[in-house]
Amino acid sequence: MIDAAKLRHVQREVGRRSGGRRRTWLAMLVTGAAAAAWVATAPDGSAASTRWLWTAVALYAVAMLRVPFVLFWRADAALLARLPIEGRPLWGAAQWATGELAAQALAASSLAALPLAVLAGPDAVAVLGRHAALAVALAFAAAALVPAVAVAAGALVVSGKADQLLAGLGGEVKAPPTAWLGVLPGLASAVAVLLAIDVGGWLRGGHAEVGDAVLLLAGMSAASVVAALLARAAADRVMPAMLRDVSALDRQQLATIELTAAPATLRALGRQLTPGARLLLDKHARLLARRHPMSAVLGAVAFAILAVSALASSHAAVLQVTTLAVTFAYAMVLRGRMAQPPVELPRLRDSLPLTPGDAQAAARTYVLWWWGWFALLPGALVLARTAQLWQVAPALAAGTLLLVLGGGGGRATAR
Amino acid sequence: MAASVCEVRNLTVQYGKRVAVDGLELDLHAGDVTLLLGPNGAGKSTALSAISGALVPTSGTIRIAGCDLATDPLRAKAKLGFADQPPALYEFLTVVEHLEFVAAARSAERGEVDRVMTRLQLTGIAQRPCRELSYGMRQRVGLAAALVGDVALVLLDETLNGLDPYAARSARGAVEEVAARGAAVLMSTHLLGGAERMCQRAIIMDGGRVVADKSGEELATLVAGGAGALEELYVSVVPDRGPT
Repeated sequence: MIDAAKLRHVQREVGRRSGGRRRTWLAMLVTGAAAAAWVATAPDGSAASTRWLWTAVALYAVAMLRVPFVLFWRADAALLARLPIEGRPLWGAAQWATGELAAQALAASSLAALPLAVLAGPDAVAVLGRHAALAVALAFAAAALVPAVAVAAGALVVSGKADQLLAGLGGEVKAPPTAWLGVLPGLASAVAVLLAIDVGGWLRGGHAEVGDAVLLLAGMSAASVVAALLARAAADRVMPAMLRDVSALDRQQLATIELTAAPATLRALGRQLTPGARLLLDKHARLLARRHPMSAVLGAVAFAILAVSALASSHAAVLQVTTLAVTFAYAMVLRGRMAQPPVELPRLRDSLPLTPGDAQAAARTYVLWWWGWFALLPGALVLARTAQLWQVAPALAAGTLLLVLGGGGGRATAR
Repeated sequence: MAASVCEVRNLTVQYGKRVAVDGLELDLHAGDVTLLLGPNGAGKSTALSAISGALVPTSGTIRIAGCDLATDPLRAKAKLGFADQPPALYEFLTVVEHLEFVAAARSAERGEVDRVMTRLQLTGIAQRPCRELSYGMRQRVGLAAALVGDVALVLLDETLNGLDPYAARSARGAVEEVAARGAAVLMSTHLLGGAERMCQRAIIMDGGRVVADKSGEELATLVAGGAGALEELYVSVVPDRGPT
């Protein structure tokens, strides 16, 4: 009989021996220390608070986006799915793991908040208290709310309603139902992050918003706890089924079976390429969404942040430029992935009459297509509504230009 | 005839428009070793995955030791050992730790781990992390994990591939032993040489369907005909059409 404690023990041992747990803690603490230095050099307390807020948002966004990988898209999914293990222990062990994700972000954001005490002078306790309240609320969201939403997404998939929803969307949306396991938690993370940004004024001492901010943070924490309790009841049914589906997708439906052809917009772009580059672009289209589901999740989150912020405010340039910067950084990562096995299978590619130029053109086109949907499209809405055009437009133009001019994606071909 | 351990009724697995397994009907009996043969893409691995509960079939029912896999998966899986391809192992645990985890999941006694490790000659690598194992050793650990505990049904997906002659002989012995203890074994393989001597039944699949099913005297006569008799049967029912 496997209980949550046994599962947790195995997970900790695997994390300890692989060094992954130590590396993650170290990376978070180094990030926290670097952020503390950035916060400490702010010209005044208000600017320092803003810098801390962006740091915290980034740290918790990363923690929240890792939640589906801790719950479902995990290395031992295939093994756990084959064994007679109940959903409750799986959920219990996952709660420990998501709790650790939140603890890492909390530790790093606490470290980054230390200079605020110096900058705030006599108000140090009140200032630190407000920042701590936001950090704890985000920690609750990362540890409990987002995992609960992931389980709700799992319940949607198990019930078969995910299939109906996907069928209803039609058009270019072609993804396995398990894509919901990433998409819904991604949207919940985006909502939590936007709410955190909304209380930024209160962090800096905006007295008029005290009631609203406290209510918002308390509500977010309470909702997280309630959601986790509700998810516990559903976990028994959902967790084993989701581990089974995720591992089935990896083992049984890989590449040769669940292939989706390039969407019409990508095919149109492909027609401008050489035949060799078109061939590789087609392969990217068939494999990348499957191999890197985070590209769809992160893209959707970026789209949502840009679109919602554009509609909500004409003065959200910092958030919008930050989102564009993160989206651009991921686009570069995505391009790099195209040169790595098993996606590219460099040896096979080297044995075919394809040039490094073909590989670069295919990678560049795919990434530009992705950027077009998730940055340029909502970016156009931002440009139409922002009062800070001189901040957003250069960021959007620079990102696009760098992606058009940039190389990469073909390195593995050149021997 | 021995009791039926696994009942598969009208099992169909479809990937999009492609039918991988088409209306499979199967009864596996206690003590029998059944070979599942067929060309690449015949649906063997898909059928094994569906019977193991690792894959949800499009339609059909599967009962293992009297438990419906769809409605009572925990009890069904407790009676089931599955070694798939490649075996799912905890890479950073040692061999013995991995097998103890599997044994705990099946509520098996600690002595069960020692038994299978001895039977499959794994005691020498018990303290080695799974990530350091060669292909053949991983196959043996995967087989050990499938055999540990009080399993009534053992599913092996090309588990005997990649084993050296001694390891293959030891693995065949372990499979015969678990069958002698009353388990039903369903084993897919392309290595007919050693396997045909240990089986009580041979099923050949092609295009997701069963195209031949030989057992009892019919199979005994066939195998007595000499080495390669099963291969002749295979060639006679499966046309050579290349990869499909």
